[in-house]
Amino acid sequence: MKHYPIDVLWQEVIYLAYHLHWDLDDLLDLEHQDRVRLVQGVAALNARAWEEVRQLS
Amino acid sequence: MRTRYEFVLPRGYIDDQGVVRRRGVMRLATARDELEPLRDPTISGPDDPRLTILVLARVVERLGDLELVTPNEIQDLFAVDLAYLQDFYGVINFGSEEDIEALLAAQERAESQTSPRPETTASETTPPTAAAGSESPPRPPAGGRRAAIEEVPQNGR
Repeated sequence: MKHYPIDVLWQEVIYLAYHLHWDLDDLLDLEHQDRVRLVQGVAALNARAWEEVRQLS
Repeated sequence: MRTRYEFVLPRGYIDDQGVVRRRGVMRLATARDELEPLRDPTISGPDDPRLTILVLARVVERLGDLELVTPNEIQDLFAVDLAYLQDFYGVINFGSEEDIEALLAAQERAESQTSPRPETTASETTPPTAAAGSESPPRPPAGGRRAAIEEVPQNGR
């Protein structure tokens, strides 16, 4: 059966916990597609923030 | 966004009284659904085949009139039904919208081609067993038997 790689799953949960400060329970209860969408959204916000920092320096 | 999908098993779960249950509902899986079964003392690791049984028992919310589906019911399924649920899980959780639509359409077509069969019947005499590999199933599952746990390919996230 297809199954989410456990280490990747934890990396995604840790990434969201670091950036969003949500409870672990809330992060664990996200469905796979929702969690991936959040990771992509946070990554895009981070990329935009870093781009602005680079333009200012 | 849909989080629950109705499935129709190729053969159906048959209980001790001979009652057949083919229709059920599976919800989308969460990280918890894949992590918590790994903490079960009976599970030896991510490659343990029983992991699939525990994960499916969590996400299958209903099977016929059974509102509590446990690992006992899942492991008593015919091999063809277990394979069907494994494929169903893969498609609804990791497939594209098109994959899901195709699966549901194929399920609907397959159901309309088979003669109407009551949800409850005592006519089945074959005992349900997950090791029923020698029997010829009426309909093979889309994608074939999934004997092992596969990891979803990651595309550089």
